[in-house]
Amino acid sequence: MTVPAQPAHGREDTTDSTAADALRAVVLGVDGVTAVFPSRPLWQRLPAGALSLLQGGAADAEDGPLVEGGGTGPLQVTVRLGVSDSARTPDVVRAVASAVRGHLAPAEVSVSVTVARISAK
Amino acid sequence: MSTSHDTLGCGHTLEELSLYLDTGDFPDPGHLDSCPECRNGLDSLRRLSTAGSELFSSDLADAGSGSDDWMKNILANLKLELRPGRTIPLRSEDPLDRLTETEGSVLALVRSVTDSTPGAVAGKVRLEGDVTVPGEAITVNLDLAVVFGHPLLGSATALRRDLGEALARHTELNIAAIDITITDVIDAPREES
Amino acid sequence: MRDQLDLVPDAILAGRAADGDTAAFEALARRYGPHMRACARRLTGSHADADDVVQEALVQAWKQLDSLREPAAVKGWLLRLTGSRSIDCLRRRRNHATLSADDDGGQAVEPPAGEPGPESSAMATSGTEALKLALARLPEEQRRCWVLKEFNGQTYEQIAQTLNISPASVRGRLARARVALVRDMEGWR
Repeated sequence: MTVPAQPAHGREDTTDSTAADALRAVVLGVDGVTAVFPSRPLWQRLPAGALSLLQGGAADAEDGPLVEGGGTGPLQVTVRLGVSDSARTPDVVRAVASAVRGHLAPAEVSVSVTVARISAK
Repeated sequence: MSTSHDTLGCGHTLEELSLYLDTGDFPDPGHLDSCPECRNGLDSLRRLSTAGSELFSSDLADAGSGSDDWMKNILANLKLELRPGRTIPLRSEDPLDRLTETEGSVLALVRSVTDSTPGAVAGKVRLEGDVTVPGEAITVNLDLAVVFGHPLLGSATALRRDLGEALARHTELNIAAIDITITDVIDAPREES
Repeated sequence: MRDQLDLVPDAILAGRAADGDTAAFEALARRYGPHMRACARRLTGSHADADDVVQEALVQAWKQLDSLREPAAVKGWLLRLTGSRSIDCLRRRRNHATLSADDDGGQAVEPPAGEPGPESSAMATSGTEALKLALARLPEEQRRCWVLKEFNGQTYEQIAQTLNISPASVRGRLARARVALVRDMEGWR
């Protein structure tokens, strides 16, 4: 199983910063998405070292989708985002899941999307 | 206060007077009118209380405004976390996916729609019912403050309609009712702008 | 929107903040921050410590707001948090400062914020100045009671909780503080 920028290495986070940035851009490119938040709230985050793998060593820049797994089961992608109040949140969320799946094809992907904010802008 | 001991010549204590000042309780209330020592003591304590109020006012002025940089710095340091609340499911097209929105994001939406209604400010918002189960009947309870002088009835009707539309647009909740309770009337003047 | 929140009653802001509205919480902080700061300065005697205390109290407030049963009482609650965090700060400082200090009712490690010592009392020019000087000479335990009462309007029971002493002790300390302050300021009237 692979992701576009770099092959998977077992159960650990499998992307480098380029792949993460690309995925983030895909999410932000969906109509109605206003922001991509850190994929876990602060209190749930792993120690900086573990997640810095995802961001090419930028310890405090965990502000994108989280990609995990890929060893045996499907690739797990977790996204927290903000949606514009002029959009339709359920449609936006489904479009995000679909865009993520399309971006990572042909990998088997399980997408978890959480809307943390619905607001103007 | 000229006594050098905590018990006055009349047998009452300064502690009793101090307590009386705070609570109005005194073992022998009639005595206070007739006893010069107690009256002097109370006068002194009241002057102290006045000086205390003046010191507080002076300290409060020295502390600056809540809009000043010191408070901005403190607020910036706080890094307030959003409160997610319960997890509200959204339908997904792929069984592998898990699509949700946080209760906190929906409460914020309700506040935002309410605040944009002229003369209305949202208070506490509650989603009653199990929002984590699709299709459950949910009642929205909204506390509302209204600005004095704005027509209430028209606002409430329009607000209920706007909230219904926003919730239909941004959630898949089965909204059974939107209950609005006016809890406060704000009689402060409307903002200048 | 921000301006509008500044006009809104406490209970509304507290209810919203408990729901997670950071803007409402910040409006509360702006509204009562100066009072919290004034209280913390008078209790800790340090401007730097006071700002730390205000920040700690606000962190605690944000975490515990949903436990506040009466949202309209948010002002008193914020001030009680400020009082408690100030006392914590004094305890920490005392533990750092000295091994020999009398641990129960000794004098403050340093007099309150930039106060002149007793030798400067000739400079007292007003009731406020005289009171500042008299306060600086008050035993620490009495000053705490007095500030919590007169600045924060706390009840005897609330002060007792903050200081972890009995309400009867609060009554006694407050009375002794007042008597000492009046005596000290006698030349002023």
